[in-house]
Amino acid sequence: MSASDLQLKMILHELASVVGREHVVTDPADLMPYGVDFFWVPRMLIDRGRLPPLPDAVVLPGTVGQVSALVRLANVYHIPVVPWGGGSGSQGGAMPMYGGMVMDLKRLNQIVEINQANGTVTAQAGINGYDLENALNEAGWTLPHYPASVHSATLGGYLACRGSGTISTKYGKAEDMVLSVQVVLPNGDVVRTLPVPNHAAGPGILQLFVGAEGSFGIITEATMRIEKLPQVRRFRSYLFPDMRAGLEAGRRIMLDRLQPLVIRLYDERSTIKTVRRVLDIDVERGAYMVIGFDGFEDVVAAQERHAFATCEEMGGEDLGEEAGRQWWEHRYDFYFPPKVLDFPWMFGTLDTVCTFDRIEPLYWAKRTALEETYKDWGLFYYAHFSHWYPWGVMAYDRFIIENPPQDPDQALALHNEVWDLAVRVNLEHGGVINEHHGVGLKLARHLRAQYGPAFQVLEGLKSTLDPHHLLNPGKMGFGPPR
Amino acid sequence: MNRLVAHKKDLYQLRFSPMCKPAGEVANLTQLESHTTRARTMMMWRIALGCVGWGPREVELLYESTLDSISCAFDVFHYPIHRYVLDARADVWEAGLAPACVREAVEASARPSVGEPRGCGARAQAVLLAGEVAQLGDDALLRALEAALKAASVEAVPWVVQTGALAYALGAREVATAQAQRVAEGVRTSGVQTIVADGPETAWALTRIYPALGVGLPEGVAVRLLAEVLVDALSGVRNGIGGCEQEGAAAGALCEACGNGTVFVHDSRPAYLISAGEPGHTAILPGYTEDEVTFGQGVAYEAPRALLDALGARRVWGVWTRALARTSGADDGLWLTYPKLAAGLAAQRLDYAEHLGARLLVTDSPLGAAFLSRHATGRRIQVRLLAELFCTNSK
Repeated sequence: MSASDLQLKMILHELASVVGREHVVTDPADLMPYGVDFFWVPRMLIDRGRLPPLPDAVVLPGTVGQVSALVRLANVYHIPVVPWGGGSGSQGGAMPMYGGMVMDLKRLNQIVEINQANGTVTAQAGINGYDLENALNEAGWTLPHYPASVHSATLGGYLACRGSGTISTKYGKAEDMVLSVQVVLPNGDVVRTLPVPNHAAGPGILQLFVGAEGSFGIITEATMRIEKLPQVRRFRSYLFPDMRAGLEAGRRIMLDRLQPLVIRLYDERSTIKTVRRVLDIDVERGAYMVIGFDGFEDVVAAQERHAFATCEEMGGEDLGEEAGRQWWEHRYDFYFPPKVLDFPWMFGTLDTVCTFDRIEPLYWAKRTALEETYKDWGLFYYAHFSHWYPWGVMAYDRFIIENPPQDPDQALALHNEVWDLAVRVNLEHGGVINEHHGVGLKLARHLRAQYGPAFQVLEGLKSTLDPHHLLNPGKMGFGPPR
Repeated sequence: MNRLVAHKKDLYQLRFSPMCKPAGEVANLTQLESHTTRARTMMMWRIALGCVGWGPREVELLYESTLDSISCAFDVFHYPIHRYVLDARADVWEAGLAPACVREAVEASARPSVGEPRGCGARAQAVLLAGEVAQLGDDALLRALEAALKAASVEAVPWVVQTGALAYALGAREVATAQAQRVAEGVRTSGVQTIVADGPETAWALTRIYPALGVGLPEGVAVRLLAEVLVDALSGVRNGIGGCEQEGAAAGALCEACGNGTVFVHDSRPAYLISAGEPGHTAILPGYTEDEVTFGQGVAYEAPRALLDALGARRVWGVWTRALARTSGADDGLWLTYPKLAAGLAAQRLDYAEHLGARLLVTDSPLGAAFLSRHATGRRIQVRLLAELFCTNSK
């Protein structure tokens, strides 16, 4: 037995002494699933017979104290630590790039308190989104965060990636719903952010951990705002003459503060390609929009009246309630096989967000740049606009290359080039590198460009909190462990 | 050893999908990613493709699970994941790679059972096929089933015999086929026209596994669930195998043991496989507001509930009922092969029923009742077999 093998066994013994033997796994068959989340690259590697980076061990702590003890141990031996939730992230944020320890947090799955007086829930970070939602529904409440990954993702994952759900237009993103978090810092200390998110007690550190993907600490518990289940929730769909008319209708509705639950506007291509295929709605032209409202019936009726008038003013053809309901009931179908995008295609969601005045130029610039540059690869671009703010809107745009290179290295190179160009266009047109999927490995190299000189703020925090770069190394532009 | 290859296309589509995670029963217990449906399909796909072989841990992962049939209810396009698992297990079994615990369970089930359908002569109309009881070897349960039939004035001679369901679930197709042929031959020889299945697993074996194995029951023989027969008897319907002399004789309040408490119906996993309806999309979306039947329909679900309603039960239900019902741990032989995992699953079922406010868990599966009872010791909730409850109430 070599010295390194012996050392590994000794460390594994220490890990097991913290969480118990059955909660430390090292067999390759057990490690394999932790090498792949929903990022295209590790899936491509597996698809083509290669292996993605795997951890040396997976540990499953059952208490916050155990998380803390494991992190302290990692500091002793300089072991990389990669937090793992539902494994449904699309950016490679949970990939163990430097081996080490993957910390699967799903055993931290308890609801601490549903506080009906405050309209909050406090739960451990590893709880599955669907399980949490069911528990809240039983009590007459909902966490109005319905991402496509709700059946898989965890509460911690929602926050770590600043995720967004289907009805974010009314209820906000994960970072808008969080009141406070409990975090295990990179040195093992357990801290709690301020009990409320709105205050004047300094700059606030809550949002440093939300979206940091485990780089500044491991979120172990969170208190979230919840909502009462609405009296009514209704949907309507419209077909606009073109995308521009639909965008303008959406802009007016948002500036009128009509608080739609959802506005989902598909560009002309998506209207034909996706809506017809998945929703079985016979549409051959125009831009399809589904819009919904929820709450008290009389309030909803008033909101609908104003919003529908705006839609009709912009030339929208009323397709009725049924088509809107159809979308709502089948909204996750797009993400289940066989309808979800899959191999052998190369694909990616290039989502960004910007102000209303910039969204259309950004859309056309990106579409033109990508399709012109990768004409030989037959790159196809399409988009919908699904998360709206009072100041702007997010573009959920995608590219598809149906016949990418089969060689993994060539495929990876092409994939990265497409992303580099898309990100450049996003930044040049007042957008950001991502709206709600996070940074992960996919976009780590672009974070410096995103922040410019302000990146030193993040870098300084990282170096101070995690001088050895042990927490989720290789992500967020921070580089390898030191 | 290439049954799995036939599913390559489906496995290809499922291998990276994280969407079925809450349906992974053992994964919900261990929280280990390799127990999830995604990980298992990815593993099976890589094996079907020849990227990796059946190593000891891969085999263990294949068996450290139920058949995850609920995944086909949970994912919106209903991939029959249990079939892929079944075929993979058959491959592994044939290759002689099955773990010792699996081989022992199959060998135990292959021991010849005692007796033939007792008393089945020309005058016998029905047989009570006690396949679930055969796995347990529990005479008390058999007596409870017989007593229930007697209370319902139904004549059916008991036959405690391995149906092949256990061997089939563990991949031992030859053993399962031999057991199925023996049952079919016994039924043919006896001349009975109706088989009363002691529980959903037995009914699943007779109606779904036997055709898959190429074993046919004699023409015209009907297979009915015991719960179905009892509910017919309660409502006074003539069923061709006796009939209830006193219509509604058993109706009334629940027995004292229940304390008139709230009842949770546990549907064993095979109930899904013999049910008539699959859940709609609304069943899997957060914020569901539909009725319980949204989660699946058919006599396998309705009969136990109808019987309990007739007995005056106040039933509770939650999202994990009917087609989304999670296993008690006693299905698919898990309780014999990996008892610690099975015990954990039983504890989860009891926790869930208690969480819903139930004082009594009732199931029409003898296997489920026995196994859950074993793990309910010291809890507030009690577990009863439906037939036993029927019997108590009809005295």
